[in-house]
Amino acid sequence: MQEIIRFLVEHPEVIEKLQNGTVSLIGLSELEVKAVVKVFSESTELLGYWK
Amino acid sequence: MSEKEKIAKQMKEIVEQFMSEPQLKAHMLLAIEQHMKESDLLFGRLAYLHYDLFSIQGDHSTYIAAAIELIVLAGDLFDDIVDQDRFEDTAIPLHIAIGFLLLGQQAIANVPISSNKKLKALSYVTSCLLQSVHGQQLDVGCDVQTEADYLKMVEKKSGSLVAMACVIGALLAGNEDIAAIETYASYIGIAAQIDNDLDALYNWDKKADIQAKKKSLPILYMLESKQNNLWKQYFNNDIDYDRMYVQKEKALQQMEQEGAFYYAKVISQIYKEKALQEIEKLDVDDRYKSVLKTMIL
Repeated sequence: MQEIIRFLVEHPEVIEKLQNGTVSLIGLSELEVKAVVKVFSESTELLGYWK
Repeated sequence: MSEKEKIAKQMKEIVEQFMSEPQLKAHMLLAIEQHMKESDLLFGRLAYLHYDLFSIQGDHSTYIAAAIELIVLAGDLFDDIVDQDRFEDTAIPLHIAIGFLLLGQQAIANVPISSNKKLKALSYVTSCLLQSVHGQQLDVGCDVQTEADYLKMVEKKSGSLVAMACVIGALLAGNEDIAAIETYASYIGIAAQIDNDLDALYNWDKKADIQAKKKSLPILYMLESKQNNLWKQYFNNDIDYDRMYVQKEKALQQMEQEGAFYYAKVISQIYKEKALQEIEKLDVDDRYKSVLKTMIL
């Protein structure tokens, strides 16, 4: 999971494609993809230490 | 009066009923007041809900919820004593914590239901508390080196306590089919602990976790980074705590930039999703499922 998160941080454009279902993340279950998409979609609001 | 207020009121009444030493009683009542301000009494509310869910007679939900919340409050106080987060003098907090721990179990023993149910419930409480102590020791012993170690530790430390709250409600109501409840309760506990550990990073000054070199998920993530960062320097003893502390904003910024917070939040969310899946499988009224889901999200 750590490697996937590092990849997504470096390639944020992939998140939208994940949401649309146009790309998939090999090795992750449907439940795990759902969690990744949810967290990254809400991230600008949640990860607000520096706001 | 809200459910939370009812539980807190019942907790105080139990203290009034069983504690005779005036100074200790006063401290315990104050501790409950403080707990009310800082907590949403989730453990008590989960016990309440599970008793209510499976009970066919008797209305002991609030009393059982208060008993569970007293035990959990004891755990919080022990945690603070061990972490040295809050207390300068530990004698009184130690007595308060022991008092709450025993009082919660005494309250369960006093519920006017069959002895058989209470015996099973009290045995389950003991089993969960032992699990939690094992988890606490893994935590303070800094034995966590990997994500798997961390998840095993929090399952014992926190998953066991949420399981205790949910299962005790069910057992006292007479439901012994607890496997599914244990599963989702454990998932809820793991997710909650991950979120708590994230809060400890956001509230660096209020918690001693970083000084104690506890490895939460974001820290494990930073230690696995290919780039040099302050977390690696601190955990490798290249810099001491004082040097780390003066650079805390930079350290947290590094976490944010590398995605350490995303990582912890994703793992937490995975456990929440797993809990939701298990709850959905329960053969109970949709209203209860809905309340339960609301409590964990």
